[in-house]
This record gives sequence, structure tokens and C-alpha cells, in this order.
Amino acid sequence: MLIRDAVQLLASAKLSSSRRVALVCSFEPLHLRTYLQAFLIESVPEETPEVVVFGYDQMPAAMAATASTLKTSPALLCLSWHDIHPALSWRTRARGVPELDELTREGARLHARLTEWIAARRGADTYVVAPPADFLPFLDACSPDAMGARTLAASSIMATLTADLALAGARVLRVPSFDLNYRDLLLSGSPLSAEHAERIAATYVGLAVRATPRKKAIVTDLDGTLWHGVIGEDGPGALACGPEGKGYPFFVFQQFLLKLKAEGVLLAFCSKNNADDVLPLFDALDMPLKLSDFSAFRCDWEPKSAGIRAIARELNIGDDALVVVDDDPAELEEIRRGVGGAVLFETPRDARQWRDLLRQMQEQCATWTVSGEDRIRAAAIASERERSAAQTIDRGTGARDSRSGELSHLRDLNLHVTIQEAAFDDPRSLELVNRTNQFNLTGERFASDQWLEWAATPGAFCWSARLTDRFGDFGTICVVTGRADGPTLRLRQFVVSCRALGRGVETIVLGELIGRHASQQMRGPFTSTGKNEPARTFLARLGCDVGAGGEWRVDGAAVLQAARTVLEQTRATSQTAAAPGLKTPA
Amino acid sequence: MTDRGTADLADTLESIIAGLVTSDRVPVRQRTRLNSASWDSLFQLTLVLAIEQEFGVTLSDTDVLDLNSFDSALHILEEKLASR
Repeated sequence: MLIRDAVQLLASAKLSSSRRVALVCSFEPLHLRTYLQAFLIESVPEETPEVVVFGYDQMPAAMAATASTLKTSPALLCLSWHDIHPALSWRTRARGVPELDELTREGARLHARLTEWIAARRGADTYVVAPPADFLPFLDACSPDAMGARTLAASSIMATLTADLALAGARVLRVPSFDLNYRDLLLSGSPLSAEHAERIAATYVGLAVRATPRKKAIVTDLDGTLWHGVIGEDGPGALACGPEGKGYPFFVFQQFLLKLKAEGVLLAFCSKNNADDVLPLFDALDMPLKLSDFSAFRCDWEPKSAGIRAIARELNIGDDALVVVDDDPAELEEIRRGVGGAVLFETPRDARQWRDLLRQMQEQCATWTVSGEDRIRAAAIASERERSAAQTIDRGTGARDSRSGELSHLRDLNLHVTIQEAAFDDPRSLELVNRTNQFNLTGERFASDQWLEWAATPGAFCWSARLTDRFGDFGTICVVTGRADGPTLRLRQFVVSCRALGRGVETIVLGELIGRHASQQMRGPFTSTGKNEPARTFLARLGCDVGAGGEWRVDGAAVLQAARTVLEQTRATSQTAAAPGLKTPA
Repeated sequence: MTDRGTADLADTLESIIAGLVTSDRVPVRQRTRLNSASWDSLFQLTLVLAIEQEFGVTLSDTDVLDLNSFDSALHILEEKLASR
């Protein structure tokens, strides 16, 4: 973007009166400020956050403000080498270069200050940019093409600092190295070239304002996608997927899928093949993926779109939460017509295309943090298979029963619900609210700053619930948030993970909520999103006819009675755990 | 550079500066660092970047420091374009 166009965007924009982004840097931000504001205006024209700048010598003020008045606002921290020690800048007034122990000591001080700052901003989005190594002045006696001890020490301090900030929840941007802009540095104190500033701003806005939710599962084809060769034509002996020759790209692809699985992405395959030919292969072939790594699969001669939709249903996720990889363009076209919203990729033909595919898939499945919940989802699905196998729950029957409200078939499951009363600060709460589609009152999503503002509202509460049964742990599967208003509980959002539907958890949680607040009535909104029929069905069972949307209300006594009935039928137990030191309901 | 060329250049420069600063009582062609509140060092660097992006030239440090008025900006730009 030309600076002229960026400035004109700023001149004509109306900025939000309530939303802010703090830009924190101990240098003159110059064009970075302009580009950052311009890209925000382009990306969020309706409610553009205002960029609040803390530059030169304002680091202490920035730390204080972004941990107090701007605590809920996103912050972009652009670190400089001279944040470690003043001598690590070309423009310094410091005399000489520091000894190693002085560098280490000052690095530790910065580390302590910033990790304390991140902790104080708990829950708010904080983005960090590290300075390029080329911005360092010559600290050592060696040639510019070599690195001496001080240069290496400074690099190590910065690397450790940013890694620890990332571990503490900060989001460290990957920005390519640009040359130091000596002219602007000496004239104004800004080390960034226009291209560098533009890149930082664009990267931040691209990540912070990312609209598409993370994909939850990958459905891959087998022949020509998961391995080299066609099983039906070449025979199993000719398949290649090892770390050499024609199979090498497929080996890398499988390793990549394993990495995504470890990060909570579900794996599935859909192949037009004979299941008897294929399934034994997973254990016979020496390849990274095993059959047990897949949460679902279809191996038959039905149209792939039907198989993939069935996989989505089995995994309890929407079609639009899928990434599909297949080597046949005709199959991809059939899938495109039959599976709405899935992201489709054709299997690459050469190394460059493989690199691009992995990058695009990583983008689709990217997340900032991998929660324990992400990791146990695949295990929970495996437990679900065991449940079905044990015929403790017949899925079809379970669904019918959940509509009628009869749940006595669950009585041998040892259902146990643990309620966390102070769940605003648990990152899983917001994650679940923003991810859940089916049992969701309104479809309302929260940005993290909106969530923190809501948490600070007088009377606001947020409860979450964890479910276990004799087959395993579902993790945190329910979040309810609202506001206590005298004898009335006004719900704002109520979500239950689709993995736990049909077990009465939602009723048990509302019963506990009414009991805890001694409320006479519960009210809330309902908005049909086209996906949240289970929420409407639940409200109808409580006697609330919400139609396409509108406000509903129900007597506290009716909720308590419904909860007692569920507990009796399922023989479930529940327990409330208020976390010490966290926000408790008003 | 011909008079026509200089006139066109002045028009373009005027349009660039007007686009960068919309609120200044001093007419663009009369602005100097001394009479214009908006002509500070940061504006100067923004104007430098805008000129460099618009005309594909690179200004030297001396050019940047001398860019103190509309007239000086026009003069520097004419020289840069003539020496290409």
C-alpha cells in the first residue's frame, strides 16, 4: 500500500470509541503506526480499533497502561535490541560495548519485566515482534560475516525471551528479516523501512482479524495421497511411503498429519477401495500413520461426498470444519458439489507443491494454543466407539431418547459432572463458546477483549462443566454465562459440545445454577443460526417455544425438577468446584 | 525540464501533500516548515516516502534534511528526475 493511500484512509475513517490496539515499541513507529491503522481500517471498517502508540521512552508507561486501562485491548509489542541494553543500538549514547555478564544481567531484567507483564495481561491478546539480527550493531571484534560472543549472547537472550513470552500466551509474529533503515533511524529514530513496517502491520492484522475458524478434521484419500501407488493395481508390495525415493513426499505428509493430530486435529480417510484390502495394510506397511491414528474412515465404493458427510456426522462436526485432500480432480469436484464449506486440496505433483500444501493446511488448522481439551478429543472419540460397541448407548436410540427426555439407558455409564464456577479465566471457556455450533443459544462469538469486558460486567458469571464416564473423560464440554439480576438469571450464552449431547449435562448444569443463585426464574435469548437445532429442542423440552428466535423464560422450579429427573434417570453425580482466587459469581 | 513539465510536477506534488495533510490553513504551495504547523519532522519523512513511492526516486540524507518547504521539495524532485 502506498503511504499516500494509507494516510488518506486514516483521514476518512471513523474509529471506534471503545476498541483500541496498543502499539508498544521503544522507537519511533513512524510508518508502522500509519500502516497498522490503515490495515485495521481496511479489515474492520465497521468498528475499527484505534491504534494507541507508546513509542520512545514510554515502555514503563506502556507496560502499566496495557496491564490496567488497556488490559483488555490487544497489544502489539515490537521489541528492540536496545530493550536489552542501551548499547545494542547504532543510535545509542551508551559508551562502549557491555561485557557478557552485563548483557546477561540486563537480559534477565527485561525477561522478568516482560513475563510479569504478560502474566498481568492474562487472557488479553498480546503479539510480539522480535528485531532482526541485522539490526544489531557490531558488538564483537570479528568480521561482520562472523558472530562473536556478545552478538550470540544478545541473540540468545532475545530468542529465550520471545520463546518464554510465547509459552506464556503471547503470539510471536514471523516477519522476514529486512535491512536496517539507517536514514530514518538517524533522522527520526525509526529503524524500519516502509516495507518492513508494512509487513509487520499486515501480518498482525492478518492474524488478529482472522475470520475463518480453525478446521477440526482432515479427510485424506489413500492411493496417491497417503502413499505412492495404487493398491488395487500395484499391489501392497509396490506401495511407497518411506523416507526415500518416490515415497518420501508421502512420508513427510504422514509425519505432518501426525503433528496435526498431536495438536488436536482429527484424522480420517475416505477411499474408494475394498476395506479388506486396505485395513490390514496400516499395520503391515512400515509407515508413520497407523489405523488407530484415524478417528473415522470410509472405505467403500459409495460417492466420496456421501462418505465424507458421514465422517463429519460421526465426528460430530460440521462439513465446513473439514479439510479434504485427494489426488483425483474429478473426485474433488464431486466432493465440492456435495460437501458444503469443506476446504479441498489436490494432492501435489512436485516438491514445491507439497511445500505449499503443508503451508496451506497448517494455515487452515492453525491455533495459538493447544489445550489439553484438543488433545483428548481424539481419545474421547475412541471412547465413544467403545461405548457404541458395548451397546451402552445406541446412538439412534439415544437421539430419540434425548428428544423425549428419557435418559435411563445411560444409568450404567457412571456419568459424573464437575462444575467449575469461576470459568471466565479458563481459556477453554472462550474457546468452547466460539467453537460450538449445534448446542448454542445465539451463535454469538466473542473476541478476547469483548470476553474480558463481559467478565468485568457487575453480576456476570461463567460456569463450565466437565463430564466423565466409565469409558473416559470428555473434558470441558459445557459453558454457561450470564448475569444475576435479582431473582432472575439472565443467560447470555449457553453452549454444550456436540460430543456430550444427549446425556442430560445441560439440564444438570442449569439445575445447579438455579440452586446456587436461589433464582426464581431464568431468561435468555435464542437466535436460530441454521445449525443450533439441539439448543431449540432443549428449550422446547423445558417448555419454552422460541420459534425462529426471541427471548425465552422458564421458572426456576421447573429447571430444578428437570435436573432432578435427569439425575434420577441417569444416576449421574455432580460436584461443584469453585477455584480459589478466581472470580466468583455475584 | 520544460515549464509545462514543471507545472505538472508541481500539481502532482501539491496533490501528494494535500493528501497527506488535510487540515492546514496555509495553502499547500506556500507551506514551509516555519509557517506550517503540520510540517514537522515526521511529516517530512512521510513526504519523503510518498515522493519516493510516487516517482520511483531515492532521496539522499541531504535531500531529506533540505525538504523544508513546497518549493524546496519541488526543486529537489526536479533535480532528481533530471538526473535519471
